[in-house]
Amino acid sequence: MNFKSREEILEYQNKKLRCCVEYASKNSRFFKNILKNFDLTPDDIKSIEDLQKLPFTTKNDLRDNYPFGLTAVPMDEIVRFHASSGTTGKSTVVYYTRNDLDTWSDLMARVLSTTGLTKKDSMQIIYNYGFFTGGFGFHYGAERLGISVIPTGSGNTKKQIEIMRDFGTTSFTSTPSYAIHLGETAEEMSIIPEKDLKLKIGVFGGEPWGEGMRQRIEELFHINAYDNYGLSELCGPGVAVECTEKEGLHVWEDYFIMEVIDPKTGELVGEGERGELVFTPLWKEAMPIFRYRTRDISRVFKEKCNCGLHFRKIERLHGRSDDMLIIRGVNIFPSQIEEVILENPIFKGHYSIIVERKESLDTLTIEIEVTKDLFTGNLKDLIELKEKVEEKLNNVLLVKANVRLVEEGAIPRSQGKAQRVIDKRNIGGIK
Amino acid sequence: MKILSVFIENKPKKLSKIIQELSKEGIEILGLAIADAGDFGIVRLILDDPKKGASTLSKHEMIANIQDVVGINVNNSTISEIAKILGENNVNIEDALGFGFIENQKILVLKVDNTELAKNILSKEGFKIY
Repeated sequence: MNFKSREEILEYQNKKLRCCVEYASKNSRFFKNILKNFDLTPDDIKSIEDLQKLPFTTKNDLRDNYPFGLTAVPMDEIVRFHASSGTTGKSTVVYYTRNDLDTWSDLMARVLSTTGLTKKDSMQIIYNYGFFTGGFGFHYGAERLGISVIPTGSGNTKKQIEIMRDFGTTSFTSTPSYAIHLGETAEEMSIIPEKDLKLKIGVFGGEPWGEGMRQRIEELFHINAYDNYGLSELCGPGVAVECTEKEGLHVWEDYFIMEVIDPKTGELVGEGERGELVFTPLWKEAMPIFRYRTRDISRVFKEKCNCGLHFRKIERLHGRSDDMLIIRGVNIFPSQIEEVILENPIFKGHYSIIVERKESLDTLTIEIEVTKDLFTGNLKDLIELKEKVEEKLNNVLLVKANVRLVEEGAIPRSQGKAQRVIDKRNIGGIK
Repeated sequence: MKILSVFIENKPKKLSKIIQELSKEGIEILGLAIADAGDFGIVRLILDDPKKGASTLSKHEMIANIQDVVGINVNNSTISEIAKILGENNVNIEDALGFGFIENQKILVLKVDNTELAKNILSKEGFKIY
């Protein structure tokens, strides 16, 4: 990964892309069909610029070819299956050869070392081990780096904290919302992180989270919290991660070509503009895939990173193009709402976003839990807080939002991806 | 004196839950007032043991805290008299939390900006302060 310049990376990408096209054109029935339908030969795709001749691959393509339609190897070469978490409906299946798993482990080892972890560390893997790629991805990557893996899996919050304390765990990975739940449970158990725990790093992902949540997690555990990015269709976690600068996520461009498109037109956006991320992995044997539309919205930074890596950085994810709520014609990402809420220390990240349709008008209600620590007992303070958040939300979202303060514990806790948005509108077809 | 303020959602059964948990612990409710702001509000409680009340409600994940207020025996006086005295001494009444009964005495509960000062002035004027 010691690339000395962007040019070197581009040259390497072009070379790898030609290999991938050659490989897929021979082995993937799915890709052969694409070439045939678009009247292309492998020679037509020689560089990143040529990539635009190819159509996008979408989640629907994976669903239509469920379960094994994108394979490029005989079934006996496949050593692992995973399936997407099904955030947006029916799950999709992905598959790996021995080499695929090897490369994925390397990518994940790189993710972990970029956050400062070394073989001296231990890591509690607080993800579900199963079809979801999070558990196994982190597990194999951590092992590859020589980290002592503590495969606790998800759930059983109190036990997780006891193990952290008893094992002297130095790092952990989970969804950010579960990390907050863990931290609050530790508080309830009277665990003092600086005294009782040896944690120093946490790596989080699986759902969009903002700077407010990062601060909260870092305060709760006295750790550095890093964002990582990936999706099962590309491998799982291991596509991008924050370095210790905490200012954007480096994409492993020697393994993935990244494009940013306008989700409506499919055209590439201008440099540094926000759009949907599209990736072409340059290493997959079992399931070669080209121009995969992630539905994730971000932008590429122009500036070089102080850490010295030449891999370009993407902004922390704003949300998914299909998480986006359209309320009275305005596009709203749940992460925008979260940022506003977490500016106020009285709130600790437990909230839900409720969209309803009343007399053919969409209404947006944000339920936020009030916490013990900062409750003054004055009604005036609560009303002022509610009005302040409402005003800020109106300014940020350009849509009127009602804030409803609720009691602690009123919003259900999740062990995996938090169900933040409750859309009660009944609009068939449009999600 | 001290009162207990409890955050409450404006929904059925929320108030009865508070009262139930307190009675279960044998805590006596001497006075109760609600200030509401639509979806939510604050219940003010005069209890025989506010500390125990706070810990009981906290145990049940309710948000409660104890506040210093002035309790004034008003068996033989009117509110306007008290308001006048406080006003003349530049003590601002922030909130009137209602009446309660302690040992059959009628008590007016006020939240003021300077509790100590209010207590001193009213004692000097001959009021019984709680």
